Amino acid sequence: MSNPVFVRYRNSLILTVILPSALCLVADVYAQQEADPGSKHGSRNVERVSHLALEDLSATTHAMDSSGLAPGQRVGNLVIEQDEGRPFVFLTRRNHPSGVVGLDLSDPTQPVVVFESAWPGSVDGEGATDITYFKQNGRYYVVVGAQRAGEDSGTDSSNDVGAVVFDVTDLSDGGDAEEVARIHVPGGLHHLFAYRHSSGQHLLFATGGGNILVYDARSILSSGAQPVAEISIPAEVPNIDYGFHSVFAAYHPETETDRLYTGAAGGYFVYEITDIADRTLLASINSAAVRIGHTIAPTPGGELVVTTAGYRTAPIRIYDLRPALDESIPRVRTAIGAWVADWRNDAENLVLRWPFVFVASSEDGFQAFNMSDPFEPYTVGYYHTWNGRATDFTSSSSEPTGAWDIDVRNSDGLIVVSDVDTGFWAFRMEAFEGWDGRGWGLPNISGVQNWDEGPRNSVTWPEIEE
Amino acid sequence: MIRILNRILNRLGAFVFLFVVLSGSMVLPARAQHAIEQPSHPPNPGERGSANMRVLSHIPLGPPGTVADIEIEQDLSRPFAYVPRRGSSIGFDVISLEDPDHARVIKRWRIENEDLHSGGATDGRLFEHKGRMYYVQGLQMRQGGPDSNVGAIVFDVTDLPGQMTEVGRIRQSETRGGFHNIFMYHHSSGMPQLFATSGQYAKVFDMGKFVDGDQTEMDPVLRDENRELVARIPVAQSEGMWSRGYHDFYVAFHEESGQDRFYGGGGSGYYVYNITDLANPELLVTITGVPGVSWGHTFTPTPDGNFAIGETEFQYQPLRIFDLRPALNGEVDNIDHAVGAWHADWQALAHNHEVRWPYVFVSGYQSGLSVFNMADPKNPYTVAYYDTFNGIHNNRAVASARLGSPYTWNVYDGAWGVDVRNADGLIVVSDQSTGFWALKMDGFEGWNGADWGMPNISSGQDWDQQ
Repeated sequence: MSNPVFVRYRNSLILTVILPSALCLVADVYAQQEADPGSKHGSRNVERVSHLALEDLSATTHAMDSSGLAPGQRVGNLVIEQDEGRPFVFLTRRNHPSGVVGLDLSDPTQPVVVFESAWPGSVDGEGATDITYFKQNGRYYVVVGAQRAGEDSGTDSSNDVGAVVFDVTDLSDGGDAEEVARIHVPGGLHHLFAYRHSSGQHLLFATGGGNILVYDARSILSSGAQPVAEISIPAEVPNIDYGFHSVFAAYHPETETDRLYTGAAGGYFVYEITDIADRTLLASINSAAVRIGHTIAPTPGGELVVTTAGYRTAPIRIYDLRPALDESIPRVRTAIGAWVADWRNDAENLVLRWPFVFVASSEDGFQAFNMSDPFEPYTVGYYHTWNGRATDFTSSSSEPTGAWDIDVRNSDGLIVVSDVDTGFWAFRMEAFEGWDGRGWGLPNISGVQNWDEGPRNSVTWPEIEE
Repeated sequence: MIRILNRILNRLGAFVFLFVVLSGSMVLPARAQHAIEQPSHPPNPGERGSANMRVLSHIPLGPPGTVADIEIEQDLSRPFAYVPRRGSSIGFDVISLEDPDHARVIKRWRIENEDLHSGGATDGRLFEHKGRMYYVQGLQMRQGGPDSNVGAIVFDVTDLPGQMTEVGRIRQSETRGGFHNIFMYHHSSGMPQLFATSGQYAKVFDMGKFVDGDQTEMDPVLRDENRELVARIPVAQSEGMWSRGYHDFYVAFHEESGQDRFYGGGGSGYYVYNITDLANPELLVTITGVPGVSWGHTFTPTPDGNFAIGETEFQYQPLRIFDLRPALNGEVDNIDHAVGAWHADWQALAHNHEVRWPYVFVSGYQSGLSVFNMADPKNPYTVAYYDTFNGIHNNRAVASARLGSPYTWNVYDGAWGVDVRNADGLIVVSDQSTGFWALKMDGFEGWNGADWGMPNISSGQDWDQQ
């Protein structure tokens, strides 16, 4: 038993005789209160720049604003614009009535809601899913995916909206964003990736869990867009009625080809898509631990890929593609390294800025690890955006929890995170003041596109203007 | 601390504070059990084990890679443990635990013409019949050498530490390659049954009939190798199975239903059969489609048969705890998720385990011996450990030499098998690299299910009573 302790209550001293363990519990409870959002509970090298709670992610505060969005709705995916003079982030809202919210980060410490739309949730109950953006003929467009959660909308025309396209160009002049087109896809879409192909084409890759649909960006600005290509999984997987979950396209400077990295039933697959109509399967990753590949991102040189598997206890796995690419093995089966914040949880989405990988790690919040030695990746920074009680192990099939999506602005290293429970967050990580692959001796290849010049000049530095 | 208490008092009020203090003093002893965390490798000097785990004996048995599973006799008057050997030493060692603090090898049985054989002894089990004790040594011989049709060799070990004699060999010429795993079960019919992995089945042999023979001198020569084969337990078929057969199994009496139940790991997951009528195995439960589980390895139920622990033999995979009741009750056709999971080290892999509810004793390859408590199946937690391996983790040089690929953590090294003597709680471990270990865990002086409000069901059979 501990020594008696005097504590002050309303100017009276109270003598307590309590067990040390009880004191620890009190301190523990108090510490948890202190760790609520709004206080510092990340690593010392991660600075919280700003935070907007769910209820603040709306320009108005009444129960249902003019856009049809109810304040307090959970958020989903997000994307940050990369060009100078365009300080905008766009987030989806997951649940009905779902939609999209645009934030102005001119002052990153004071995000301002500048755009809201209740589409697609107000239309027919579909939920907003992924989000991406592209530039075409000097104008900027945001594409928001839509899919009815947990059910197949089939071919019913009232349920076939797969994405909606907004022209957001004028936000930088204080103007409005407006819907300009819809992409109709039976069953909807849940993953989108906009890519500046080496041919000069601006392509949108999209999947709703079946085939990958490839659209020419010009065509989707008009109604009735049809895909220019459709990619099916290399082989049907028994007992899995599923196709692709995610896509990531990147230029491969060494071979001067365009490549598509996918997560799908059976694992992960890499294609050459230099000629989108004549694709070649380059490599397959079939791990016994991965029934459906979730997220995938290649390193700038395309030698390695970093992946998630979409279930709790699955670490982020790093695979070496080279033995498959040079055909010394038929397929990759074993990861060369792995990383996890807490093995009980799972990582939802990630962005790779070699040697760093930034992770939206559900209940573990924002995490960053270094993969310069891919065999031994290690944590370099974190911030717990979610601070609730740990959910049951069995809750993996229910509503998600915590950090859901993440993006990084290459020009200044600003990190933005969406947390389904706690809203929008912006961070900076010490000594990460931007990213250009050439600064690390690598091609300047990431998820960020150079819409004006394309990827061919990603290896050499541009001339310095005198 | 005082400042914190003052602030809490002012905020919450004295009554709430006193409630917290009083309830905290009651709650924390339970919380303290959660504190044990197995350290990452290598442990600090003197910290290979938790404070509550004591090494009684350690015997290095030979070159790394020559040690497989382990079996201990349950009768204190027969203080013997058996360690199968493989690779360059094919056979088994008998270890006397007459003085557990000074265990010693008393027999080394090796197969004849050892240099001609390729493979090894893997699993060993004991049974008693008509007052004599027998040891069954499972074998796996490759077809490049002799005896590839031998699945097990039976020894009469009654007279240990004196003479030990070979009784006969169980052959299965149509499914060569031997028995990787075996299990001895005292069926409710009274028959001592050997369950063995062979081909696409768990084959069941009547071992009473085997040791009794037909009482003629020519029996060993003329006997039909299928004479004692009394049943084949199938694997429930499904599309895209990872494996067509079983890897491992466990058989136990189910008190509530009065059934003999078979718990098998293999195929695409885990399977439970009612085998009361061996001629008509009845499929009760399938566990397939679990994220991360493409096939089952080890599968052990709790004494009441309500839960089961499943292992799948891949790096980063935790031990999963499944609730069997929804399938047993007919609420679901298949179980596709775990209710809990446990890891000693997320970068490693557990191998075999023994359930003595609420404890589970795990031989965790490179993690050595670990013990976790599963009183709350949703929240299992480590209560003790000892790092029997203590070698270099992630040894790619060894992995490259042994497995032909540097792209692995070489996780399949270290503690292979574990067994527990119920009479006094003695724990024995076989480690592929470091040999034989005998250990004791504080407060675990033996196990009888009735003491825990459970049926007295474990792998230790009662050969005298049905």
